[in-house]
Amino acid sequence: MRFAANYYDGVAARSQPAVIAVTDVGIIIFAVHGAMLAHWPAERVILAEPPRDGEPVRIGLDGTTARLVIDDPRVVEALDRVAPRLYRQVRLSWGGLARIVGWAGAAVGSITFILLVVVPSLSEQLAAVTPHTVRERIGFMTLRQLTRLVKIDRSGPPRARRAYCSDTEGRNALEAMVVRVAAGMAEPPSLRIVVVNTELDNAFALPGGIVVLTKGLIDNALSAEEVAGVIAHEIGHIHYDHPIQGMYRTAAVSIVVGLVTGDVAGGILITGLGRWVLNSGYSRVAERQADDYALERLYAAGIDSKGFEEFFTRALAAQAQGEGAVSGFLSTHPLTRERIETVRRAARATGKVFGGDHREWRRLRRICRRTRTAPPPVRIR
Amino acid sequence: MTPRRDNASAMNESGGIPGEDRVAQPGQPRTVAFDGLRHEFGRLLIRNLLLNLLTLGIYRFWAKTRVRHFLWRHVKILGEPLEYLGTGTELLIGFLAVVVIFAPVATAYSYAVPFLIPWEIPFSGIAIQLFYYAVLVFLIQMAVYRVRRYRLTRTAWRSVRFGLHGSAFKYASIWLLHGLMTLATLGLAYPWLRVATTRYFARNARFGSTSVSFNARAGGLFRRWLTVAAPGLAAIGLFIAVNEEGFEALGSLWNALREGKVITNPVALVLFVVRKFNLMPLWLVVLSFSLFVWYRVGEFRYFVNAMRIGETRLSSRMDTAIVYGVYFAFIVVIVGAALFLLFGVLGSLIGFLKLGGITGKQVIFLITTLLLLAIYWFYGFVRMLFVKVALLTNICETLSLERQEALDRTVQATAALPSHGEGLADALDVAGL
Repeated sequence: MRFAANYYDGVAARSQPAVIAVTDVGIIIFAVHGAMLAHWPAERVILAEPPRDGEPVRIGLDGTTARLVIDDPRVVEALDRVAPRLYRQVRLSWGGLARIVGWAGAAVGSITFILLVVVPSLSEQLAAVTPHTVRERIGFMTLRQLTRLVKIDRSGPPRARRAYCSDTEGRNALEAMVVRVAAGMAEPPSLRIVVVNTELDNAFALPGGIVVLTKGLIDNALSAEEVAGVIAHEIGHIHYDHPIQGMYRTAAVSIVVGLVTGDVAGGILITGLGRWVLNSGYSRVAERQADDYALERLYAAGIDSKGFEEFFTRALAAQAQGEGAVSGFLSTHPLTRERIETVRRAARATGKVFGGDHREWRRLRRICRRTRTAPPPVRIR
Repeated sequence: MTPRRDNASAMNESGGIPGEDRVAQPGQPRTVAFDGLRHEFGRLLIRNLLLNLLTLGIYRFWAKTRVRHFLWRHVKILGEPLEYLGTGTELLIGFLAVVVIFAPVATAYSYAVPFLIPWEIPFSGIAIQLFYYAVLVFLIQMAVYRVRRYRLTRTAWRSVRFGLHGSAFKYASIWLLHGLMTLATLGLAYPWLRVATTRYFARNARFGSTSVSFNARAGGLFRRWLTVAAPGLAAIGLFIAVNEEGFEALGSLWNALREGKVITNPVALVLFVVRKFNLMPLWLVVLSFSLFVWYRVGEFRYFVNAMRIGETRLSSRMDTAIVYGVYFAFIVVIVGAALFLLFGVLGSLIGFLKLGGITGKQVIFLITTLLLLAIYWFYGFVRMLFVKVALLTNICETLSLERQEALDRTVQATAALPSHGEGLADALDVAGL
């Protein structure tokens, strides 16, 4: 069959009026005066674009930019009989699909590898070589950010309205408690403990061995052993270097997740969601490690771990009610029944933190009677 | 059967569908025209959005490719469309290359920062931050140049590819140098930045083996720029002159902070200090910003008229009023939709469900997030479908060629093509079509 065409030869940017013949061996292109211009082998003839009504058909020679523009739509039918790869660029072939699936698989694999292997091990190694002075600096920077983010309790008298609790008796009691928890440790880590004056109920371990308790946590605790359990747990995080590793990891994960989702609409949501899922995955392992450490420590120090268990039980009950005093702690320490079970089953000593001295516990609870604007460190070692 | 003369005649035979927003007019074909149909493009954008969501964003490479296919195909120069030759797979490979090369570098850099900063020296942290931004700007400009190279080499007209020589590194250096100059002159040197970078780009651009010449001078734009910059600079001057009291208040607040005084109510304090300032000069800044569009359209005309592809001269008669109209309608639509969704829909939902307690708060948070996402998608959709298409149509309609027959003599270049897509730009989110 013959069709009138405009021929662009892929060499010169000019249109050549032509006549084409569709044959079994492909397309033969003639100039209007009859001279043969080119022969396109049938297996390399492709549609440059999906054909659409009212638009001329555009045919290409695969691997080149040469084009034939044909007004008569019947040319598609004629070519379909002779050109086996006519729809190459229009219909997705099995090979093309396999290639895309292969690439996608490789990408998923490489990202999974980065997130599960590279990021944790890199964070661990970097944490190991991060000097103590740098950690402390980062820790105090984070602490300052933290006190800016939480709502400082302003309900008390003026001397109790600042960010950090500093009552001398309370601090002495807290120090005594930390010494008790760390009792018999071969190499107690360098620790600073600060209490932040906020109703919020939480505890954090920050880089540089900074353990942060809140006034809310101490207020809501039913016994000194509960607070001791939380402190032992946070010391566990510090023992395993979790805070600085977590910082490195968060940085890396944000970069990787941001890269993968790109500028897709909803990237913000997906990034947030992905980061949350990954971080809670990492932190579940970390929480279990810190729990085990805390139980061992309490046992070694001869402190009743029942308080630690009670703290968890109360936290979970509060969570089940949907609202409650201890939900702040849960938001940063994902709690599972499995963790409670572990704590419950653990061997338990029967000692009390202050040896049954209720006065010390009362003093500790009054630590926020006096406050300061700079963190007063309770420093161990 | 007789051979066709050109595609424009074919288009006339097939005819525009009555009532459709087809731009090409019967009879005299425009030298350049955009004849894409809005509803077709809208369908494509919605399809892309859904597939992007389903694939968690992996589809975006093919989505971009399809959008470009559409836009390129409907730009008709002397009746013949542009052809986009890129593929989604190329973009994906470019992206993967960045995951392999750029991700470790960025990760290592953010890890290294705490070690690099000599904390003992005051302001060293700020200096490192500034350096970081300079590096970022440099990388973004390199990415911009590479994107242009990729797009030009993937664009063909009459079976001949476009191209871009030159080095992305050099382009970014020119940008950074002029950028610093612009900063140092409080923005007055901005036309020089624009001319220098456009000159480097244009003079390295090719159509086949034909090179492009560009003879714009920054002096030709300076008066127009001064009109834009003057209200802004005046605003700064006035602000400093009339706000002695405000700066005093700010100074005493600063001193109080340095002495470690406790601030019981920071919001009230900030409001107190802000009220001490006379904010009227800021209206001049708004004026300056809105004049910027006028500058850019004028600059576009000036640049196009200064450009020649071989012997073919380009000229543009683009009109500022239409651009203002498009942007004004866009802002009204987006702000209106955002207000409706946030206050209307969210407000009535909260009232209807009478939500309270912590679960209520979480539900409201979720709904708000989803609504914000919807606004974000709507914004992207409207921007593409109405703003970009309207501007592209206007640019095409007002563009004309002189001595166009010289283009016939252009032949395909033999330079190698970049093998893969726009990875770095994608990672740095350098937008574009």
